Amino acid sequence: MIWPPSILRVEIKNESHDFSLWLPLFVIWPFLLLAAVAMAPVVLALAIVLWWTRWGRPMLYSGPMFFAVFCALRGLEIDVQQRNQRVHLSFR
Amino acid sequence: MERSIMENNTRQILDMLAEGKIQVDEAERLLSLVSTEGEPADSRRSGENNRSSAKYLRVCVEPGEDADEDHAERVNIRVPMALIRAGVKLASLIPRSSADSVNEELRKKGINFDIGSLKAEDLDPLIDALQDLEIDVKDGQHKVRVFVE
Repeated sequence: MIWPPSILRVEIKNESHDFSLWLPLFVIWPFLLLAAVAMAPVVLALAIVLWWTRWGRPMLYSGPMFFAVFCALRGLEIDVQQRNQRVHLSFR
Repeated sequence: MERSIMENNTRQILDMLAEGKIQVDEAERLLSLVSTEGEPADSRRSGENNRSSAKYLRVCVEPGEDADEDHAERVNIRVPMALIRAGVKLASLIPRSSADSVNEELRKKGINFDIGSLKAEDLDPLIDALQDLEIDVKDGQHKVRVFVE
């Protein structure tokens, strides 16, 4: 099972700023779960209504797909450096 | 035992073709299915291992030999394969009419790509193929490496 990322690390450094932040993403997991449970009946009803148009299927699957993308962010790392400047972003 | 079953299936397909019960295309498709069934289980398993072994797509940019120290950039990007898979699956949900609009915008920017042709089932062969990929570009200013690990 793939778990959503639990920590987002952001680091921005230049001549005037040195900023490093560890965001505990696991704090928002329960809120995401609550939002998903609350939205599920609405999305399901809309998907049934719109099934015969081209938007029913995307409506039904987009929630789980976005969640899959969110989970897949774990391990993403972007690091750009130039002389005294650095931007670093990583999901763990 | 498995071999004789395979030969039996092949013979049946050829008989059906000879009797005109199936077309050549259909026979070709069935024969390819039979030959896939006949593949040793080990080779199929090794394919699955390959799939799981590629975890990340890496893009690294480093300054070249002639690079100006003040402007030398280092870029290190690690993209999980799971993110690529999830992104393609998400893109495959885009309805055809919206995909056409996206294609049109991409074409305006000089990218001739049909986003509607992205299919989740085509992804595994693509990722398998990516495992053998290693791009190394060097000029005086930059060294660029794209690879899978």
